[in-house]
Order: sequence, then structure tokens, then C-alpha cells
Amino acid sequence: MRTFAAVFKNDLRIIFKDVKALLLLLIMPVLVILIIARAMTPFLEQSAFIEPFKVALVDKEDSLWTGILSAQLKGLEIIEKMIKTTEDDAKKLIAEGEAAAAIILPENLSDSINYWRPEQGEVLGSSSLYLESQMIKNVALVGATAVSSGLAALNTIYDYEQQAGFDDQTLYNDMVQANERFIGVVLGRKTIFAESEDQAVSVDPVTFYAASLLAIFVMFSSIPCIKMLAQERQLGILSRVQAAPTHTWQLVCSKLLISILLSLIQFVIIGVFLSLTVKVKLGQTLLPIFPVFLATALASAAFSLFVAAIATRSAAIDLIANLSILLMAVIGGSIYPLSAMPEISRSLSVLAINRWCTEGFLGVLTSGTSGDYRNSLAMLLLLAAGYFLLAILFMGMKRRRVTA
Amino acid sequence: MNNGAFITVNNIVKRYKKRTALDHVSFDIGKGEIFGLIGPNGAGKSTFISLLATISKPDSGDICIDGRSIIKHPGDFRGRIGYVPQEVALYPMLTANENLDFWAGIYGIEGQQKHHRIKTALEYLKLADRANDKVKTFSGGMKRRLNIAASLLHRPEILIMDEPTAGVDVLSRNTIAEMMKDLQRASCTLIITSHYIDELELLCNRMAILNKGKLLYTGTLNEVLKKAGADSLQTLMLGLEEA
Repeated sequence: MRTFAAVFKNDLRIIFKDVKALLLLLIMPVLVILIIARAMTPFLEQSAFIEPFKVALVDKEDSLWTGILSAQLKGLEIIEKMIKTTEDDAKKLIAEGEAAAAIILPENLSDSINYWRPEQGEVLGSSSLYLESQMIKNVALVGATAVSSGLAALNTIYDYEQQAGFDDQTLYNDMVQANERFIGVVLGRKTIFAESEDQAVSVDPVTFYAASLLAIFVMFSSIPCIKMLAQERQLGILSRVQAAPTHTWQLVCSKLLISILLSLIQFVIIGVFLSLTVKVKLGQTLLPIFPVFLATALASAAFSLFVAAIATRSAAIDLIANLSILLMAVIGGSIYPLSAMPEISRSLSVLAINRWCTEGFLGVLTSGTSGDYRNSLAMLLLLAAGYFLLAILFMGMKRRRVTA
Repeated sequence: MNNGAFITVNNIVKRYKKRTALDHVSFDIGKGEIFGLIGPNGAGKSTFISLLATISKPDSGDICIDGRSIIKHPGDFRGRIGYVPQEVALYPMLTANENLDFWAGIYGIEGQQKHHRIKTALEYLKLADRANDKVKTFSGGMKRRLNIAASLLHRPEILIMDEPTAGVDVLSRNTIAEMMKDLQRASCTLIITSHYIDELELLCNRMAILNKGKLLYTGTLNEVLKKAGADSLQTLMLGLEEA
């Protein structure tokens, strides 16, 4: 224990010797979180990748009903502006890229529906705004389907009433009434689809990036420690220690402990920053958050050990560690949310420490102490064990190569 | 000076892949001797040093100190052995004091005793005035002297030095040579490898000549020269290197 204390004290001394690097290591996370959160917020807040666009409306009937229909279309979030115009002007607008599509409502549309022989409407699309055109086409299809189903319903009512022996006048009155009610219901779609806000606690972009980038910083903070180990090997200090009444694992453990300590300081700094800026009350969630953090630090330490096992020289460790951490940052959803990533990234992210750290933290932050973080915790511990075993395996292989 | 076998090297074999670094090597080292390991590059000197320093293990054979195997019980001897590696195994970004503080801690030396021993070691190797300077600012000779100081803190009974004077100025070589004689007077056993033949001729009581992993001759300088039929160690070494 005395020798371990000496090793630990010496490692601390080396780390704290480079004050500038240490300050950078501790302050950088806050700066990066701020910059990335600010840069990525517009992307996070968008519900779709397609920006709202303009649509031309050619209303050949120009009645009260088509007016209501036009107002309903204007209410769609994807439609930035509805330009009421003629068919020729609509074509011009599409050609000039001013409108993504044009909806052409035929003359006598309402009457044709009333007489159960609906006139065909038209949608003119733009080849340069293909996705937007397709969306408008789908909106029109949905409308057409609603009309068809309404007519089918009216037909059923008509058949039943006729078989029941209703007189012609009653039959006519009932049909007109049902028709108007149906059109009213379809156009007032809010009576069919009730819109409601998701009541789950939303995550502030700064909190999201703080949670998702913390694992990255934890991983980065383990690099200097593991580089120290490589330098000790290069300088011959490790072999000299082997000749002393101590063990090399004490040197390794000391480095891991230092890397966890640095991570803890980063965690505290980020925690204080979050409490002050976005008013995240970490105090209430500290109990479940801390095990997630500790498991992240452990997994990162095991990962850095694995890197040290596959690379012996300090420069190689730097290269491999930095590239792998950047790769994890991307596939683990620390730069862009995992839900918006392709399937392959989501599958690969299982191996990324930052994915589970983010999920664990966000699980707790969005649901309080009852948040489900156990799955993330288990995955982080599993990754720690996996990387640790791989490190031992590679170290063993290296030793066998040397002694063979 | 041979006061009976203190260190017994018995039929040591060490192989790296297909190359045999030490091939059935046997000899004795007496207590309080300065024992030189001499040979051209690749002779097996450093391999032997690493075995004696308990850093690596032989494929067969044994090395005993006071009749007890250091191969089977390396932990029992590590506190009694001082090891000066060929490379300067120090932290360049730390000061001389901080480096010695680390090595004292590794050998479990603490408190006042630690401060006293660090001070003594620095004075002894003429580095007291640079105690608080970073090692990276030291000259090659100063680094070598500090490298030795780090292995003297725990007052070892056996000091193993692998090329301790490589690339060192005359002043530093003299300081190191004086230190070795002092340690010998204090009954410390020294095992040394060096490329400086004249240095070994002057310092060593006995020596072993190794070539390509095999022990060629062992004994005092005169005994070795007589067995080899050479007029000087220099001629013997030249002959080995040319062979």
C-alpha cells in the first residue's frame, strides 16, 4: 500500500505539473458543450428535415366549401404559404421554384361530391422539389380517400333507408344532411385527430450535449494517463520498477485511478455548469447518476487499457485512442442523436461507451430518480469487462511474442 | 577479494525465439566484489543483468544469493538489489528531488529518512546544487549520475549496473568510479557491464568474458588474460569482435 501511495502521488505530480494542459482538459468540455449545443440546436428542434414550403392552389370552384378546404391546407405545418392562383400561373410558379406543387380543385367539386360522382382534382409536382411534391400528392390522396370513404358511408345509409321504405323526400333530406355533416367532419379534421403535446419532460440541447459528450471527455481524460504508462515503458521506468519490491499492476491501477479522478473533476465542473445555466437540478438525481458516471469512467479506463495493450508507443496510443473516441462520438450519437442515424450506426453503437452513458444520464434527467438507467449501467459494466478482458488478451499475446 | 560464493550462477539458459542469449552459463560472484561482465554486443550481458535484477526468468538454470534462489523467490531479493538500467529511467519533466522521492517511495522509504537519503545521494553524486532542476535540463553525465542515485536510496547489498557510464563525460565517469569504490568498501557487491575496457580493468576484482551467449573465461584480470593467451583485455575484446 505504501508503494502504491508513492506511485499514485508521483502520477498526480506528473499530471498536475502541466497546469495548462490540465486546465484545458477541464475547461474544454464546458466550451465544447456550449459550442456544439449552440451549433446543433436548430437541427434538434426541427421535426423534419424538409423546411416548410409554398404551394399553389387553383380553386376553379371558388365556393364556401373549397374555401374551407383551402384554409385547412394552409393550416398544415409543412405549408409555409398557400398561393391562390390560376392554373397557368401555378405552372409558372412551379417552374421558377416559387412553389413546390400546385393543387387544382375542379369546378363543381362540391356538387359532384353531392351527386356522388366526384370530379377529379389534380396535383402538379416539381421535379426539383420532388419530396415536397410527393408530400402534397399524399395530402391530396388522403383527401380523396376521405371523400371515397364518406361516399361509401352515404351509400350504405341510402341503401338501408330505401330498404326500410323511407319516402323519396325523407331519403333526399337525410342524404343532404349526412353529406353536409360528413364534409364538415372531414374539413374540421381536429374532431377526428385530436392533437396533443407529448407530456414527457423535454431535454434542453445543452443538457443533451452535456450528457452525450461527458463520456467522450471521460474517454479523452484517460488518454494522458495511459500515455504516461507508454512513456514509462519507453523510458525504462517499468522495467526498473519490475526490479523493485513493487508490482507493475500498481502503476497501471494508479493511472486508472487518476483517469477516474480527472473524469470526476470534469463531471463536477459540467454538473455545476448545468446547474447554473440550464437549471438542471442534479442534486435530486445524483444518486442514480453517479453509478452511471462511475461505470462510464470504468469502461473508459478499460478501453484506454485496451488501446495501451494494442499499441506500445506513445504516438500510436495517441492516434488510435483519438480516432476511436471520435468514431465512438459519431456512432454513439454524441454529435447527432442516434434516433436520426442510419440502422448500421445504431447497431454499431452497442459498442460505444458514450451511447450508454448518454442513455443512462438522459434516462435519469428526464424521469428523475425513477428513470430507467439500469440497462445503461449494465451495458457500461459489460463494456468495461469486455475491454478489460480484451486488454488482458492482447497483453498476453504480446508477452508470448516477446518470450517465444 | 573473493570471500566465497555470494552469488551463484548455475547453468543458466535464456532463449529469445530461436536465438540463445545465454547458453549454459555458470560462475560465482563473491561478496563485496566489483564483478565485470565483458563482451561484444549481443554477448548476453544485458540478458544476464535482467535475470539477476529479477526482471525476467531463465528457461533453465538458477541464480542463488546466499544459497537461496532468486528465480523462485524474486520478491525476497528485490529490496536487497539496486538496479541501474542502461537507459536513463527517470521522469524528464520532474526535478531530481521529485524523481528520487518517487524511487524512495517505491522502496518504501518514508519521512525524515527519505529526505535524508535523497539529500545524501544527491550530495554523494555531486548533484545537490541541481536538486530542484528538471531532469530534462541535465547533461548526459548528470542524468547518468542521478540514474545511479535512484538505485542507491534503499542502500542495496547488490548493485547491478548496465553500462552506467555510457556517453558520460570524464568528470562524471570519475565520480561514478569513486562511488563504486566507496560502495565496495561498504561491503556492497557490484556487478557492472561497460564498453570502457580501461574502466573495467581498473575497477573490477573479477570478471566474466561472454561471447554469443557463452561464458568464455572467468577470474581476475590476470587469470582471464592468461586463459585467453592475450596481453591485454583490449586485444582480447578486439579478437572477439573480429571473430
